[in-house]
Amino acid sequence: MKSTTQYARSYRDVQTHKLPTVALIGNPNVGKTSVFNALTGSHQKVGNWPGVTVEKKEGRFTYEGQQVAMVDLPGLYSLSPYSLDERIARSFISQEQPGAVVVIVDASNLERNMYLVFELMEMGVNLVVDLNFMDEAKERGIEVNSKELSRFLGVPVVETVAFRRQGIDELKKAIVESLQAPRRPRTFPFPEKMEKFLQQTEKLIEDSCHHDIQTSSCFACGECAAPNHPVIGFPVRWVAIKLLEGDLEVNGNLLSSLPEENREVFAGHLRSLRQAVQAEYQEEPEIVVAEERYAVIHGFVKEFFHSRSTVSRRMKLTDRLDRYFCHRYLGLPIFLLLMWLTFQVTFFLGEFFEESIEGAFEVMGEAVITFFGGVGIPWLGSLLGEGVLGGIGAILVFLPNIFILFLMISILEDSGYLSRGAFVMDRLMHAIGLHGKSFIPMLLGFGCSVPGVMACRTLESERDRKLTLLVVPLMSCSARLPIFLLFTSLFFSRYQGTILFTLYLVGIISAITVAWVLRKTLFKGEVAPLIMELPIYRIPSPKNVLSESWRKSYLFLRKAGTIIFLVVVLVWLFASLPVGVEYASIDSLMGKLGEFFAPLFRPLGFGFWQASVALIFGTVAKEVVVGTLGTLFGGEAGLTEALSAYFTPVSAFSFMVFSLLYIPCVATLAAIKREAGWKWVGFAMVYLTALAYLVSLAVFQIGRLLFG
Amino acid sequence: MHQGRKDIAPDKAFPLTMASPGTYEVADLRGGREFTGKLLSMGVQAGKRLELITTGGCGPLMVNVEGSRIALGRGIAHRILVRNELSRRNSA
Repeated sequence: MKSTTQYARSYRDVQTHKLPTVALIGNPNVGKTSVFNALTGSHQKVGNWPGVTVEKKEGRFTYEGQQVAMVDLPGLYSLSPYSLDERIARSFISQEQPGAVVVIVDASNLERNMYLVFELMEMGVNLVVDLNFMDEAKERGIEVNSKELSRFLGVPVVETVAFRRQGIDELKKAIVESLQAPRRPRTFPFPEKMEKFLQQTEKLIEDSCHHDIQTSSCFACGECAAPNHPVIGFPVRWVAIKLLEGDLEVNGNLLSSLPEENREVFAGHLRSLRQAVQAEYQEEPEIVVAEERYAVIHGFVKEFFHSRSTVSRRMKLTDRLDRYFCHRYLGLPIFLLLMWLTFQVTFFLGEFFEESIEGAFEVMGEAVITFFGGVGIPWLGSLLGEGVLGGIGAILVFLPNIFILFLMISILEDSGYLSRGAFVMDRLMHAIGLHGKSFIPMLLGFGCSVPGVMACRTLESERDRKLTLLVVPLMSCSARLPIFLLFTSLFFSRYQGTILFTLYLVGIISAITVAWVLRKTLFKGEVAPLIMELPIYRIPSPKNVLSESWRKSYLFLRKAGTIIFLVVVLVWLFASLPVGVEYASIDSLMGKLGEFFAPLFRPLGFGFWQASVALIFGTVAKEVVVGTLGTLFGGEAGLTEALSAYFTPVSAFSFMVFSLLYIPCVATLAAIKREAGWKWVGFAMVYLTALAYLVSLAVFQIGRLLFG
Repeated sequence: MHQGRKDIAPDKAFPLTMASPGTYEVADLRGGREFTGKLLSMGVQAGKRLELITTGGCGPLMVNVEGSRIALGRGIAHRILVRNELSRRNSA
C-alpha cells in the first residue's frame, strides 16, 4: 500500500499527463549549469529574463523515446533552511516530489560535496549521482571507482566532464533508468553515540504515531511496510534527524499531524532528547548532527577514494593568479582596470557596427515612405517608416553594444573572475553598508536590472537582500545605453568615453549614497558576513560564452520586437491623432500630454514636451526613450538635427542623468514586486524619481553657472 | 613555505584574522548554529587543514580547504580559531 502523498502524486501525474520531472542539484561551482546545458541543449525555458542560475530553469531531453523534464535548482551546500536558495530547493523536493534527483558532485572535492549527497540520501529521494570534473580529479590523483561507489551508496553513479560533454549520454541513460525503477538509497548509520539518540527519536515518532488510531495508513500499524512517515512523506529516520536538529518546519508539520492531546507530551520528550544531546556533546544538537554526518562522510571518503592529493595544474595557476587578483593593494586597481576595459571594448567594438545598422534603417525608412506615398496611402508609410522603423531602428543600433557587454560579463563569469570581484569589493561594499556578494547583482544590473534584482536571492540576510535590490536599478542597465550613446555622440563626441564613464559613475555613486543612507535609517544593523566559495580559474568555453550572451541579447531583441514595438506604435498613434494634425506636432494628443508635464522639467533643462513624452513612455522600457524621440523627430536622420536644436550639452547631460536614475522599467518593478512585495515597489518608485529630480536639478543648475 | 606564526605557543589556538599566510589546523568554530552550520557544510571543521592564502589587509581573507578556496569576511574569520599545524605534527 502506498503512502498518501505518493498516491496523490501518481494520481496527479495521470491526470495531467505530466512528463516525469527530474531535479538537478549541487554545490555552487560544480559545473551544474554546464551539465544542465549539455543535457537539455537548446530545449530550455529560463523564466523570462537573462541571469545566472537564480531563476527556475527548466528544460527537457529525450532518451530512447522517453521524454524527461529537467528543473535546475539553485546551487547550495546543504539543505538547511537558512538561505532562500536552500529553502527553494528543499521545498521543491518535498512539495513537487520530482521523480528523480540528480546531484552533481565535484569529483575533485568529494568530501565537501558528499555532504549534500548524504542529506539527499537521508531524505530517501530517488537519486542519481553525477561525478563531474572527472578530468580535474584524475589530474589531482583522485581515483574514483564509480561502480563500487554506486553499489555502496545504493544509487546509480555516472562520471562526466560536462564542460566537454563527456558522459552525458550515460547520464541520460541513468536518469531514465532510475525513473523506470526508482530506488531508495542506502541508510548510513551515524557514529554509535549519535545513532542511539537517533533511534530513540525514531521510536518516539513511531510511538506517538501509533497512538493516533484514526490514521489507518499509519506505518506503525503493521498493515503497510512503507518506511515513509505517513504525513510528512519522507523516511522516519529523516524526520528524526530533522527533529533532533531542531528544524522548525518539520517540527511544525509533525506536531500538527499528531492528535492535539499528544502534542505536548511529544514536544516534551523531544525537548529532553535534544537536551541530552546537548549535554553529551557540549554543543548545539544541530551542529552535532552536522559534525557527525561529516564524521561518517570522512570515513567513507577515506575508504573509497585513494588520493595522492597532488595539486593540479589549474590549482597552481589559480594560486598564482589570485596572488595578484586578490592582492590586498593590487586587487582593487586590477578590478577597476578590468571593468574599465570591459566598457572600453564594449563601446569601441560596438561603434563598428552602429553606423551600418543606422544607415540600413535610414534607407529602409525612406524607401517605405516613398513606396506608400507612391501607392497613395501615405499614412501607412508614415506609420511604418517614421513610427516603426524609426523607433525600432533607434534601438537596434545598440544591439552590438549590448551583445558585447553581455559577452564580456559572460567571459568574466565563466573564467571565475567575477566572484573575485565580490572578494575584492567586499571591503568597500561593507563600508557603505552592503555585502560583498551585493556586487554581483549590481554588476549584472549593468546588463539588465531584472537578473540583477533576481540575483539578490543569493544574499542570506533579508535586510542585505532588500537593500541591494533597491539600489540595483541605479546601476545603468544596457537599455539606458542607447540614450547615453545617442546624446554623447551628439554633444560630447570628443569625450564620449569619459562622459559615459561619468554617467556610470553617477549611478554607482548614487547607489553608494542611497545604500549608506538606507543602512543608517530603514535597514539598521550589521551586514551579514561574507562566506563564498571562489571557483578555480578556467579558460571560458567559447561556445558557452557565445550562447549565453546570445541568449541574453535575444531577450533584448525580443523585447524590442514586442513591448517596444507596441509602445512605438502607440507613440505614433498619439503623435498622429486627432486626425489631421501635423505628425508629432504640439497639437497632437502626444503634444498635449507632454505639454502638461513639461513645466515640471523646465528647472532640469529639458522643459519641452517631446522630452516629457519620451520619459513617460520610457517607464515601460528605457530603450523606448530613444525610440520615442526617434518617432517624434522622424527617425535617425531627423533626430540628430532636432536634438541639437533642442538640447545644450548641459541639458543633455541633465537629461541623461534623469533617464539613468528615474523609475526603472516595468519588468524591473515586477521583479522587485516578486522578490520584496508591493511596498518596496512603491518605495523604489518614489525614491528613484525624487533622486533623479534632485540630481538632475543640481546638474543643470550648477552646469549652467559653470558653462554658461 | 611560511609555516604560521612562530611567536605563538605551539598548541595555542588563535583567531584566523591574526594569522599570516601559511598552513594551519582548524581548532574551533566560535559562533551560533547558523554560522557553524554554514561553515560545516562548506567543509570548514575542527581538525581540518586550512591554508591561508591572502590576509587581505582589512578586507576579507582567502583560505584553501581541501582544494576549494573560500572567501571569508573578517567577522567570520575572527571566530574561526586555528593553531599552527606544526604543533599537530610534533605531538603526533
